[in-house]
Amino acid sequence: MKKTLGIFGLLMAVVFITAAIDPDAFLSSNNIQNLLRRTALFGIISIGVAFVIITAGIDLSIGSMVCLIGCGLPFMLMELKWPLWLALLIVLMLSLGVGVFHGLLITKLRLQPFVVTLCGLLFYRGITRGFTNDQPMGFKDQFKEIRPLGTALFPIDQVLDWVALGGGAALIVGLIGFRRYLSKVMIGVACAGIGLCLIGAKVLHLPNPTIEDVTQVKGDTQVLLTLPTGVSQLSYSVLEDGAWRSPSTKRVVMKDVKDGQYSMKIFNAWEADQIRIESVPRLSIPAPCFILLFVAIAAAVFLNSTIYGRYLLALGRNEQAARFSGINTDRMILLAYIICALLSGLGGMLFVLDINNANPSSFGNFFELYAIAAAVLGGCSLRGGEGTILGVVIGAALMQVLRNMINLVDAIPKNIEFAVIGAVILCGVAADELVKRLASKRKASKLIQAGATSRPE
Amino acid sequence: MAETKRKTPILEVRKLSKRFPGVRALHEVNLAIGPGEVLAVIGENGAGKSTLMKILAGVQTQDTGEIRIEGRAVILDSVEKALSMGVSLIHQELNLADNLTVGANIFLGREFRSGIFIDRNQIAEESARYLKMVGLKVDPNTIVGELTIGHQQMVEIAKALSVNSRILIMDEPTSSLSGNEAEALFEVVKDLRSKGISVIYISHRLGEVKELADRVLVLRDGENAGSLAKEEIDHDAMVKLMVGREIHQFYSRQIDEPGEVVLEVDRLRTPQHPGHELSFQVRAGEIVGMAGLVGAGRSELLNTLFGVTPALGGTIKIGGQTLVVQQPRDAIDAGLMLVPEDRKQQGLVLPMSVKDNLTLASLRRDQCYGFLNRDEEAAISEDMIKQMKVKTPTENQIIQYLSGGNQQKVVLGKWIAMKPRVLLLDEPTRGIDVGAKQQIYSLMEALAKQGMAVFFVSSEMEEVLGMADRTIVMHEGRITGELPRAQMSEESIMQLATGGERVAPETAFLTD
Repeated sequence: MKKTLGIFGLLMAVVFITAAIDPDAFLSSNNIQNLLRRTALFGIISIGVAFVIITAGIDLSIGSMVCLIGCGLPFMLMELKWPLWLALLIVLMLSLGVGVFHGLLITKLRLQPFVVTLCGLLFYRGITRGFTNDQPMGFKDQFKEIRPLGTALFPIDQVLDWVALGGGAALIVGLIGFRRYLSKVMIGVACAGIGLCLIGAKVLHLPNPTIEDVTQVKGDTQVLLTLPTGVSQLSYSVLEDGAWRSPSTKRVVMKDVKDGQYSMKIFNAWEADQIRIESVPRLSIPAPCFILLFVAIAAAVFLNSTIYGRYLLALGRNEQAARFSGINTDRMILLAYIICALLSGLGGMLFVLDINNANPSSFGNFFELYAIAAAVLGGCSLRGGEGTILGVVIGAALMQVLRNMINLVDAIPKNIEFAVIGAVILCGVAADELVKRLASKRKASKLIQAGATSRPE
Repeated sequence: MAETKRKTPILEVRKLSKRFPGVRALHEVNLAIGPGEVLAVIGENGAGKSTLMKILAGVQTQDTGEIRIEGRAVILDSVEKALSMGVSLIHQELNLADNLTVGANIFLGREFRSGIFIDRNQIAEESARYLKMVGLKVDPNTIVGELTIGHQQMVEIAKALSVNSRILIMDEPTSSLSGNEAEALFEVVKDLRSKGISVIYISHRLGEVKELADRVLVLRDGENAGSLAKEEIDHDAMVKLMVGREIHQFYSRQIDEPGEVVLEVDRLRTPQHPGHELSFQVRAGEIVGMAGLVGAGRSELLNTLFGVTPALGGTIKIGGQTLVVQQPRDAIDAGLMLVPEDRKQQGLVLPMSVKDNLTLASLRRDQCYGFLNRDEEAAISEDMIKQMKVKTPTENQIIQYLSGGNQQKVVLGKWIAMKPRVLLLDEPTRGIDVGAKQQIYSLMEALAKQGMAVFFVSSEMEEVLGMADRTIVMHEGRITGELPRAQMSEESIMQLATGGERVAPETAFLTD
């Protein structure tokens, strides 16, 4: 818990420093959306590797798995023209298969995880480059039915409304069904949270502009709008051949706004009912964030509230003692590698749905190291048996904010990105070790002072 | 002659104390040894012998107290420092690099060189000189891993001599030696004594102590319990000082009529000794002991019964039902559980809490559809801490900070919560203090009274004689005999433990 707080403090520090240096760029809604999306995507693969690290293992093949799935999915859909359900089924089976393969090699053949997954790293990328013939893979503008998993954006006010609604429902269920597990404090906190969400939704809500007048001027369309306060960007779409098309988003320049009225020019001649103009929300939450939320909650419940989570933590610290206590350690380790491979596969799929362009020779390069770094920063020890899911997610966020800072702050040359990240991770891990050592020393001396020795008589 | 030696001690220790978290290892211990004297240090497991020796050899440092060498106070804060003062420790587990030659081991870190290259010839020549001193006739260019344990020990001694050690500390040197090898070792020790080298000799085997020692120092619970001059050394006197009370007070086994056969082992073959078939039975309410020398295959037998190393052949029956064990889980499900020999590696997950350790085995039984049953966990933990009298500040205490005795009670508690039908214990009281020992004995007895079949392996003769209703003895992988309580004595057990040969005084546990 303390460790998670520590890493959260570090994250906040980096956020504040970057925000102070370049508030406009860092706090722009686009930048924050990107940060959230990348955090979510990397968070998913980091949670996967955290399970493996908790068993005192390692998975180096994540980046290549991301490449295999990220290139394989568009390859199956676009090149082989397989139906969507079949492609998704194969993605699932492939991820599962890789996890089982790694797990069996490690538990049955007693190979070292480092070696097994290092070979995986080479193998999966080589295979991918082979079947794609090194051609970049993407969906072009097709598969709109699954692309939103990676690209969709949800306005913040709407999300807050959902959260309040969901929280309210959960609270009611809790009050009816599980009253004795809920303390007054918990109920109070829940109510306050729901209230804050509702207020936030109200404050952050931006109404749409009203169209006052539409005129055609020299073949183009001139629209006169009344803007609600706080609107700085508009998105417009036009109805063409029976479908809505969104050419672009338009930034509202404040000096062009006179008496709350704004005049906007749209190319080509359109009728009033062919034009839709909406305010761009102050902030939107990318879809992968919701997937991360789901994965993280499931992972945290699994790790902390099921016997299997306890088994993983126990065998990570002492496999022999776990085995002597009747735990089927081989099966648990296998499970950890399966979880990791499944989440790598999910990550690979979301990455390609978002980016829409996967180059087999570079897609996913170094992702395993980002994931491992996030897990380690988040409190997982490579010796095994330690780690929290919340910490790992915060670790993933920290990695992304760091990269973002290097990109935004002009004083830091962009090409030293890896050096900065390496240095920060090293400092974080060293500080943690020092704090731990200090704490255990203090604990030991306290125990000695308290005379907690077991002498007879 | 002994008198004159003692007047000018070469090594003197005054009021030495050392604490570890949760354990008082040494408390104001005094020790003195003269030149050319053999001082035996004895005491039960956990009495503080090893800690004392580690401090003398510079492996650990004391909290308080003084060490004097030839009258000058010294601080031995590293192994190099101790070596330079002439103190060498020969560990119970030998510290040789098996893949290097005898010569390379003797001069490891102090190689003769010509230029930047190792001068192998000179190393071989010099090594031969020291090997001769310990009477070992092997080529210095032999790889150490190819030597017998006894010869490896001689190499260790030669190594100590090569750095001009004046004080040699030997920690249980005969624990893994055969009779002849031990005999050879005694000759070397006597030879060293005549050359003026002092030897601190730690042993459990009172027979060899009597043969070798000029004086005996007894430690008990980290304190001086007394010392015996050469003429006072006898078995009973030593045991009395070690245990601190008469043996019959310490063990209070009352035997009831045993019930049905619960554990039936028939022609079992373990992977370590595939050539021998083991058969025996344990009844409900019975406490059966298993004796034998180190390496006789007792722990291997327990591990095979528990499914750690699955059997190659034979059958195991629990309450008449044949049990196929591929892994410990199978044994546990059938009600057969093991308190393993290595508590820290096999019994406990040290960085986890007392509670998590107590419930690790029962989680599966008490689960609700895979989820932890926290109410049941809390109940088991509270119940077992109370029942086992585990001394811990809270149930959330990390278990590595508890003393060995309390740790062992947690291992036991973990199984008791599972209500075993057969409880196997491997060296149940190794490394724990006298108080906890007694609690574990009375617990074993209470469990037998409840109808459990209790089967324990022990290397402590007193324990076997005191606790077992019946003793099965093993020697080199086979069962050499079974003794009912009325026939159990140190001689009869030793006779069987050494394979029915003569009861050699050097093997162990000598009685006069």
